[in-house]
Amino acid sequence: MPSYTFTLNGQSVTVDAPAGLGLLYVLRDILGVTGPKYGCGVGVCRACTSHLDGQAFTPCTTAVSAVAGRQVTTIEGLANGSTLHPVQQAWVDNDVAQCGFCQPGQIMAAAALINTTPHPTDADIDGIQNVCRCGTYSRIRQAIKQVTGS
Amino acid sequence: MGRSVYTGTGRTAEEIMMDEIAAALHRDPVQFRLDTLKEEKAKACLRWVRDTGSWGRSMVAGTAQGVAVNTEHRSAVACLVEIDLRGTEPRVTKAVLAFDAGIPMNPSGLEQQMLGGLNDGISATSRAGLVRPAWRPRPAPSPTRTRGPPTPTRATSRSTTKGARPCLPTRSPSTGSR
Repeated sequence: MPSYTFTLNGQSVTVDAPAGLGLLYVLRDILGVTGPKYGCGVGVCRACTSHLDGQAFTPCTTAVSAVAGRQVTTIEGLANGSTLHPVQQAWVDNDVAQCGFCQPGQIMAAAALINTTPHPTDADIDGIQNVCRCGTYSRIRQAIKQVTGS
Repeated sequence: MGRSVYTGTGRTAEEIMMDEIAAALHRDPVQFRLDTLKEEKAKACLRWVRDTGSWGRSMVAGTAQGVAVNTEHRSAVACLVEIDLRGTEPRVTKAVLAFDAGIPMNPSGLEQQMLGGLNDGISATSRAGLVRPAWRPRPAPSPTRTRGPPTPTRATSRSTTKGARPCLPTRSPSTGSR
């Protein structure tokens, strides 16, 4: 079985896995990193949203072979030590989560948006397509606006 | 108004009928409900949204107000919304909700439930539904892809051969066979 090395939350990891195995299953089932949630498995619900070289992506539709040598960040690696990422802090401040299942993906999507667009418009925020069955969209928007001061 | 199995569909239909009955009787929809409701907390919620939401204010053509009330699980909720039909699709432009669930253990969570219920109601009424995209041959396997469609162009590809794909907001009509 081929072996792949990539950086996960700042640490180099090497896994033996079939080339076509989805990164989500490598993260969850082999490495025990369960922040990225399994929802649809086909890149639609985006509950597994994480960062690949700083950009949002869905590990469920990305093969492990495609991330060799690259930087993968999951929700577990977003905070700076014990200091929450500003997006995480805003989520706490605004009590955004309801059931919480989609929230790691929502936070990672919001953090990626703010990285590329420091002052997102409502339309930019609408560009986040992560699905939330609880309908927390109102407070997601509120939390993003708290971070960006808009 | 709610997102339980029954409330989202059955109560919505019943409240539409209440409006139809009120119209047939030439009665104001809010006053008709106040006169027929039995539970005081439901009436209180309805009076609150009536007053706070300025029920009956003059509206420009193509916009309108509507109300609904529900009692469930010993709680009551009333909702007044304003809708704008002038664009390419209806938009809810304002919503006023009142609810009485007794003493909330988690007020923020209760507010979240109402916001989520409101979002769900707007979504279910105006956007949601099962739309199954037209079947296309599955794309050739790619070494860098696993189980999903190659791009998020949801209307053009399917990744599995069983079941309808989850519906996301799309206005394209269903062209697939069910």
